[in-house]
Order: sequence, then structure tokens, then C-alpha cells
Amino acid sequence: MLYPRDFRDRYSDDLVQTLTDLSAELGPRRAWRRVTLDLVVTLPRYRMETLMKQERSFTVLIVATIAMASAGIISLFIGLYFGVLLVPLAAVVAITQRGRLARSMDAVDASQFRRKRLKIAAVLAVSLPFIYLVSLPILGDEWGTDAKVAFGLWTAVLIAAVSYFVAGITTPKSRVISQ
Amino acid sequence: MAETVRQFRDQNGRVVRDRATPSPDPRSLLPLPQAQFHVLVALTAGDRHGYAIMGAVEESSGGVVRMGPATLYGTLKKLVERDLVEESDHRPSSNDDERRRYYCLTGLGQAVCRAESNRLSTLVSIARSNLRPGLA
Repeated sequence: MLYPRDFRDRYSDDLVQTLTDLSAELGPRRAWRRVTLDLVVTLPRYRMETLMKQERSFTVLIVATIAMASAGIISLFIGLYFGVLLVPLAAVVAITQRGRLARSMDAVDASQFRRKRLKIAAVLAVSLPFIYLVSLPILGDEWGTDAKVAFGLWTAVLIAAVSYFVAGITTPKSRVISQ
Repeated sequence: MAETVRQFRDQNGRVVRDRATPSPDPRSLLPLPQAQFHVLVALTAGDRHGYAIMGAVEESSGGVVRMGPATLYGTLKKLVERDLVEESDHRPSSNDDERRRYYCLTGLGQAVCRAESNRLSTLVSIARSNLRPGLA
């Protein structure tokens, strides 16, 4: 249960089988001691490797950047002016990590990722007017908390749409050869 | 840069896409991590299941290298992903537990194992030559 899901899905039966074999040969106590030592050594490594996977890195990067930019804008509207520093920080993260963003595009079928990212960008872009229409009743003359939250949400979706659009159009197309 | 993808249908009619990349130069994968090399060496004797590989590694290293199950399968996962090892359908005996998965070396795996052996052999020669009695 502690190992990453793809490792568990693929090797859980083999791990149980090997533990059974080890118990039969060494005895349960020595077998469990070996397995526990192995767990301590391998668990952080496999977890770290899963975290550093390229596709996940891209998602983490996008989510972190959008969250920081949104938090910065929202903090500005709720009066925490120093929070606006999060916006340039988000920009710095996006710019400095663009290499990782580019590497994440090295997919087995790049076109698939290109389409996926452009689709997400389109869905987000289409949702912008809906968010605006839904927020109309709460957007009065007074700039209340509801209006600020709605504006923050709208801004976050806008940033996400632009990010996914840029990621989508910069993903290379695959040349497909039918055999 | 455009990426080349091969597309074909498998036995069930499903479209399978495969990146058309040539096999890498075995030397470009060197040096191998110790655990990976031990597993490759264990598989040079033929197809083996996980527990047999563990036993072979322990035996070939004189008991110095004792792999745990997660280390072994993590290593096998990396080797399979790098196309050095693959699952084998061949079973040495008919009364063997069907749940066991057997592994074997691929062509690239053999080439990499040979290249790593040569690299280590050269290193050992240099060490032996430099450490000859009387020279230290």
C-alpha cells in the first residue's frame, strides 16, 4: 500500500510471492526483517521517482503557478497587499521552469498531449463567460467578498486557459506512419 | 521537432502506437547501477523468476549483495522500461506455479551486459596492474 500505484499494480503479486518464498527459506522473522529494511530504503526513493515523473511535473508546475498567481490577485483584493508579490513569483517559476515544461512534452504520442492540452484550454476558455454570467448577480456597485472571490476565480481560469493554450501550441505534432 | 510514431493494429484489432526510435548504443547506457548489472548477469544463465534472480544474485556475489523484494522488482521495472529485460512466456517446467513471472534478457540487454562486463574487466586489469606486489 505504501509504494506508488503503478509499482503496486504491476508487482504486488510478485512481492507477496517473493515474501512467501523468503519466509519458507529463511523463516518469517528473518524474511520480515529483510523486507522491512528493503522498505525503508526503497520507499522514499520510489516515491521521489514518481514525483519527478515528467508528466506529473508538468501538472504540478501548472497547478503551482496558477495557484500562486491566483492567490496573489485574490490577496490584493482582500487587502493583503504584500500577497501581490506572489504574482511575479509565479511568473519567475514559470520562466525558470520552462525547460521542465518543454521536457514534459516528450510524450510517446505528442499529438495526443497536444490535443489534450488544447481541449482543456478550450473548455476553460468557454467556461469564462459562464463564470461571468453566473457572477453577474453578485457583481453590484459594492466590491464585496463574493465579487472578489468571483473575480479571483475568473482570473485563475483565464490564467489556466492561457497556460494550457501555450503548452498545447508549443507541443510538437507527431508524424504518424501507418503500417 | 516532429516526432515519428509507428501505428499498427494488434491481434485484437486495437491501434497500437510505437515510437520509432532505433536501439540505443549499449555503451550509452553505461555504467550500469550495481543492482541492474547483477540482475542482468543472473539472467545470462537463462529465464528466471524474481525469487530465483534474488538467489542467483546472492550466490554470484558470495552473499555480499542481498536484494530485498522491492529492490529487485524496482530494478526489474527499470530494466524492462529500458528494454534490457522482458517478460518471458517460456517456463522451464510444466508443474511450476503459473502465477510466477519469468524474465529474460533482450538483445539490447545482452549487448549492454557484455559492454558493462568489458568495461569492468578493463578497470580490473588496470587496478591489478597498478596494485602489483612491490609497486605500492
